[in-house]
Amino acid sequence: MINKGFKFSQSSLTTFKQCRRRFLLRYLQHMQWPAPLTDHLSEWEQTIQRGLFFHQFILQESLGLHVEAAIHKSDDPLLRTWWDNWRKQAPDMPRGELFSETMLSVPFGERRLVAKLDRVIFAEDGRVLIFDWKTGRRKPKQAEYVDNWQTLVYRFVVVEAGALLTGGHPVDPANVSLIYWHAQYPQAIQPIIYSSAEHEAARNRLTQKMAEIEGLPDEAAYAKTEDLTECRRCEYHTYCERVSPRGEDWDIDEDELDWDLLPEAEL
Amino acid sequence: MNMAPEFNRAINSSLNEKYTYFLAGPLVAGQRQALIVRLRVLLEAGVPGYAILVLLPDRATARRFRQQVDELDLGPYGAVDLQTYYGLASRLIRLFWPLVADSAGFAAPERPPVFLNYETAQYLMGQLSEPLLAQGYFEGLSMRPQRIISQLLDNLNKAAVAGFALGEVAPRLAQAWTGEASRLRLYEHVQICIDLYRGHCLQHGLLDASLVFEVFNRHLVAKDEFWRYFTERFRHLLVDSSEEMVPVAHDLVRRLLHQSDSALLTGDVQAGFRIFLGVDAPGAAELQAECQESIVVEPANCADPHLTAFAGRIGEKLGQGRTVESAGSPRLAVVDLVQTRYRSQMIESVARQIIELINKGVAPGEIAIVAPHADGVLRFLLAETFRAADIPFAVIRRYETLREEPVVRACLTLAILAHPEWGQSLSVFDLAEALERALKPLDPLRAELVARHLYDLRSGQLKNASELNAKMRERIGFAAVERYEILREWLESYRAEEPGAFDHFLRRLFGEILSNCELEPEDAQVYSKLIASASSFRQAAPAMDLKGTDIGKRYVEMVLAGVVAAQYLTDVDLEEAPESIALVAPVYTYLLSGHVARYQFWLDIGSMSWWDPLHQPLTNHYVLARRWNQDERWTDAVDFSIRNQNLYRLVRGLCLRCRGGIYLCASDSEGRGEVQDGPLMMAVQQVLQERA
Ligand code: SF4
Repeated sequence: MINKGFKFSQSSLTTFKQCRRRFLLRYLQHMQWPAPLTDHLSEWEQTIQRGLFFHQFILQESLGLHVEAAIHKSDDPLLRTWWDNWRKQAPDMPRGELFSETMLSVPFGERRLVAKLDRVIFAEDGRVLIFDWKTGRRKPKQAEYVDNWQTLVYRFVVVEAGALLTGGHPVDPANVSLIYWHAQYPQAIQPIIYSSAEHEAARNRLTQKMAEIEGLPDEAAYAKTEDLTECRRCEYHTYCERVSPRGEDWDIDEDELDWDLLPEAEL
Repeated sequence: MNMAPEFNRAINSSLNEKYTYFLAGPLVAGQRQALIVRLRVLLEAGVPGYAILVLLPDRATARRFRQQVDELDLGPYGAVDLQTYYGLASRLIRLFWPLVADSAGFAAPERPPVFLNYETAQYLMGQLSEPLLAQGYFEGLSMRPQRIISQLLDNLNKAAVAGFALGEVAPRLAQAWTGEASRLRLYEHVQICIDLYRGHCLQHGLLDASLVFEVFNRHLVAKDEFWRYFTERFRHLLVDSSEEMVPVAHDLVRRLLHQSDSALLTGDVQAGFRIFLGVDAPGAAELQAECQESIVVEPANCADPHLTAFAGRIGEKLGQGRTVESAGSPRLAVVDLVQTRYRSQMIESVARQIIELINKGVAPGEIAIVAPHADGVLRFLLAETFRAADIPFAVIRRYETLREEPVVRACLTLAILAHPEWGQSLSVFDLAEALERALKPLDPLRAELVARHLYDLRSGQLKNASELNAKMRERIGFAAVERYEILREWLESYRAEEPGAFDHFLRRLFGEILSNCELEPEDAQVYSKLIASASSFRQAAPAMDLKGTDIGKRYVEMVLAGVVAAQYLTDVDLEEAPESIALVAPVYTYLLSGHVARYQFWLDIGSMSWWDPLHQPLTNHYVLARRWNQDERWTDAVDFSIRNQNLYRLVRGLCLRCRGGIYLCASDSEGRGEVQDGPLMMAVQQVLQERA
């Protein structure tokens, strides 16, 4: 079912946890199914746009570009507030080598595990800080972040592949921490540290999970979830014949955000 | 496809001595594999992925390339930038917008850019040129406005990819012109329209493809801050099929070439098929000359000798000089010449021969059918025959207009029903076609019954199903009538609501009515593309002076008028159907795919479409090329010679991508009764008669 070179990511592993069928449809069959997730499509669209712009402004700023004028002229007050939060309450950034919007990929048997990192800093004092900007609707809860696939995958991948960014020096898990910074709730999540023991535990968990997924024999084994609240925020609800009123607790998956509306040309 | 062993030298060359290689020869020599292996060498040596730029000629190639890279057995690596020139340019313009917007001349540089897709660009050009057309611009040209618009946009793109100023378009066209003086007036009109359009884009922060090329090439790359970032980041350069790239892409490669730690370029300087997009094969030859070392693989060393000989002989007949002697025999390249009276007979014969080949053990994936156009009759007849014989068959073609797609037509029909304020009328036929999809499962006959009995032509509204008599209700089917009522009520309640964005309407229509388990995933994909297209149109709407429900109305009118689709509507790509017989059109789509067939069927070889570009009085691909000598004149002799040269390129490209033999297929007349004796047919006959 799963091709050689298939790329597991925090998003796909999270999806598998939420619903195996959704994993099948989205990541194995690449099925596009443009059903709305909410009745408030304008709000949904704006949330995506705002997230994209915010990520882009931070990236532009890191390149030394002047973004203030664009933010002041923006007709989105929330985006301006977020930038204000960033100005006043951005997380500490130690001096060191900084990499923005970097994708790292590590082998896992015949498959790969990838992480799309908003920012990594290899600090002069030896610390390795992974930053992830959050722009979703929900107020983040520390406990949810400590124990999710994103935290596990990001820290694991940076330790396994970080040497690519350090000129060959291996990354010690004990030096790694992951900092989630939410534009709306800048103080909500504390840095999440890492250790060698956690790294080995992460490897085992990933190995087991991938084996479990790869062991599924056929499409039918990618079962529909029992949890109907998942269906209420899933674009495939009509495909799966799980039609019910749309929920209002939708959110965006920042890992999948992309300027994909960029028109295409053949050259 | 095997890779020529000579390429290994380049693949394993130094990683940091600024060594630059060019691998030259036909694609079948394995240059693309060489690039992938080189990429592997770089990554295995610990070069971070973000330091490698891979430039590819088109999106389909980029997709295939990525898939192959994903399948490599490699240790950890950083993701590599696999980009087309346009993709790279648009991404970097978005990122460096604060640096470049002002100097590029945008009136409000602090506003984010709005990228226009091709549909929207056509709409905008149509809007801006409409008053001028009403004043008599382009009078005397018997041509649909749509074709005028696409030629105007073509001029903008040609200037941008060749890297000359927009103001030079009309002077260049005029200087080369040798015909009637009245044409010069048309060129003046062209210049006024394109200047107006460019001015509007700059005023409103709109970037069409031409501005993406121009802003990137002329403004962004010229900024020291940008160039420092770009060259510090991309230390290794890999370029695939450089002959399929435009001059400004070659400029970028040339500049980067001398600053990279290593560079590996590939190309076939005798190819370069997409001349209509401005690609420049001689520019690839210039890059080759700038590289420190070239490794050249001749066709004789990587392709079938008989097919190479056939291509060479056709080239001679087309006046393309004497070709290199080949060990092969042109006659042996041709398995059969299928000539029938009617086109349908030709198609039947093709299907029969293919079934025979398969019965002899040839795999369907080893057979390719190429044609200038894959029209409905051709697609239908082949699909039916192969379905009956249980042979996998895939059509790989580009849609020319959005409205060609039944899914799109159905959506727009329902949109018209939902928006009576637009005042657009529908035919029973349109409605029946839409109902067939919206009320699935419903056969065409019943769909027509519903449309005839339940559509009020005068009000443009659907009637309540209670107006059906019992007999009709039974004929249509109770379940279908129930589904009809759900649709009717949905439309009614939508009309009662405060109107929202048009693409949101499409999304809801999909989610609440059209998407059920009966819907094919391929159709859902087309819906996605339609929604993306409509959303892109809406984002540009304020700059086109459109508001509210007018946006949807104009969008629907534009699509129904036959706007040429952005390039992203294709059925499937070749690599998605490796085990199927592939019908590919137009021919260059096949040539770019990297597919090598055991047997090729060339259809309609008598058709002028193999030779004849569209009549384009308002533009000229050659005169607007960077390479055009401005002292030259566009005469019939030049025109004739260039067409022959292009035809030879196609023939050579196809022959190099075939291992076993070709079937040349023609019919005496098409449906319109025109005799089919185009230049390809004439050349083929001459070559075959030589040996008879
Ligand atoms: S609708 Fe429900 S069952 Fe179907 S993919 Fe989505 S979450 Fe899974």
